[in-house]
Amino acid sequence: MQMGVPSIISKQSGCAEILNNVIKTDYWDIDAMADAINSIITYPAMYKQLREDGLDEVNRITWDKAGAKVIDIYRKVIDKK
Amino acid sequence: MKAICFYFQIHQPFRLKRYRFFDIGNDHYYYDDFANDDILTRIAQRSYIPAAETLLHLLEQYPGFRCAFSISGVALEQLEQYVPEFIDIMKKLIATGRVEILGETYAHSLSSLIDPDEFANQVRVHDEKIQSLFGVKPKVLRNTELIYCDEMAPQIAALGYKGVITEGAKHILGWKSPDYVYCAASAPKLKILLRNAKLSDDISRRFSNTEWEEYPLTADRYMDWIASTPAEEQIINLFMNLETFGEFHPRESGIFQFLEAIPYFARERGVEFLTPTEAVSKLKPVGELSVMHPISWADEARDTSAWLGNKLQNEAFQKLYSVAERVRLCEDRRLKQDWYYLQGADHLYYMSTKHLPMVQLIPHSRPTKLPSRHSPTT
Repeated sequence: MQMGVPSIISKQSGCAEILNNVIKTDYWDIDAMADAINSIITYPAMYKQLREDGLDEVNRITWDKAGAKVIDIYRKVIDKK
Repeated sequence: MKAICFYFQIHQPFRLKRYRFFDIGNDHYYYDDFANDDILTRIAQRSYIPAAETLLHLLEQYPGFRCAFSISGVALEQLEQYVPEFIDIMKKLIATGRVEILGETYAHSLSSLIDPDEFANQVRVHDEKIQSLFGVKPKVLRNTELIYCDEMAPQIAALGYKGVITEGAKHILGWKSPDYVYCAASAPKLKILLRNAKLSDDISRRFSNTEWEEYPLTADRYMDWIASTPAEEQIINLFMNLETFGEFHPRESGIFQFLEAIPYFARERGVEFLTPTEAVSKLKPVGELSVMHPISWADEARDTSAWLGNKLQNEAFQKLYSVAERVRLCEDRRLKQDWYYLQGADHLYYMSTKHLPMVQLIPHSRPTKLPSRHSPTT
């Protein structure tokens, strides 16, 4: 995704929980995967959208933000005490 | 004298089945009959039928009570097939003479934004369907998702409608209030009724929200809010989906009891009820309203970005209407039927990426498995 390539991922993968601008399929569903591949190749809008929105999404996932969330949780726990 | 104009939308799309890339050219049936039957039957039993029966009871009990409905053509077809008893209840409601049916596009489509001929055709076909089922001719139009702009007004007026209902969007109104009748700047003979978003959403969105500061909302307090609006404000337009009663807010939330109590407390406070046609006939417009860019009742933005906000949606939309002329020229009944069913605005809505991952308005609205589309995380 960071290279601007439309991505197809397994629904059962860890990153499926946080990514939205990808196509998600069950890992056993080879028909769905073939379908997704064909769709991305055939429809320019799908390719462009997944490419651009996927890149934006990945660029917003940073360690700074993850770190800030952890700090926030610590603060909430400390405040409660 | 202040009046309430209740309008309830009834619409269900023909939901699509899983359709593989390799099915193109081989399988010409696109619909998930099981899902359509299951969802519509469930919603009818939980919401449509109890709500319609409640309204029938109110019409019998309160001679001044009035309301309006719109039912899309595709919803009518499904109701006739799966829940015909609801059509019978609707006939009873209309027979009271105090329930109005509004016109709309047959396919609940966005044709008004791109193809005036298709828009006019669908509105005409919808009118014919309403006439044949209920014996009435709509006089006020509600476009799909209350989409409206100045460009549509002359065409709506030319189709014979007296009025149109749309959203009281803040960015259009500015300092003005939605609680008046306006006329269209581009077609002064066409009257506009604007949805009061705050009071409508208090029922349709917030009623059973326990974190809302006004929860629990009672009918007497709600009517106090309406009665305390400025005296010169003529009409409070409460437009919502009929699924508000029983589906968005389940029976246990007390939504049906709330609805039953509304006419009683309205009468106590001297608030009347009007249908949209009565409102546009009896009340004088206070001024012109200009809407340069299309508005709708969706999202905070109240625009068309929920359906045409991303590249996928726009490409699908353009591609769909690129064949409109050819479909109108052909005489294949099956093709024309598919043409209507595939135009539903819901299909474009399901492609929205505006509020990922929480795009859904209602739980059953999004197909759960769309391998060639964005799949939600749920």
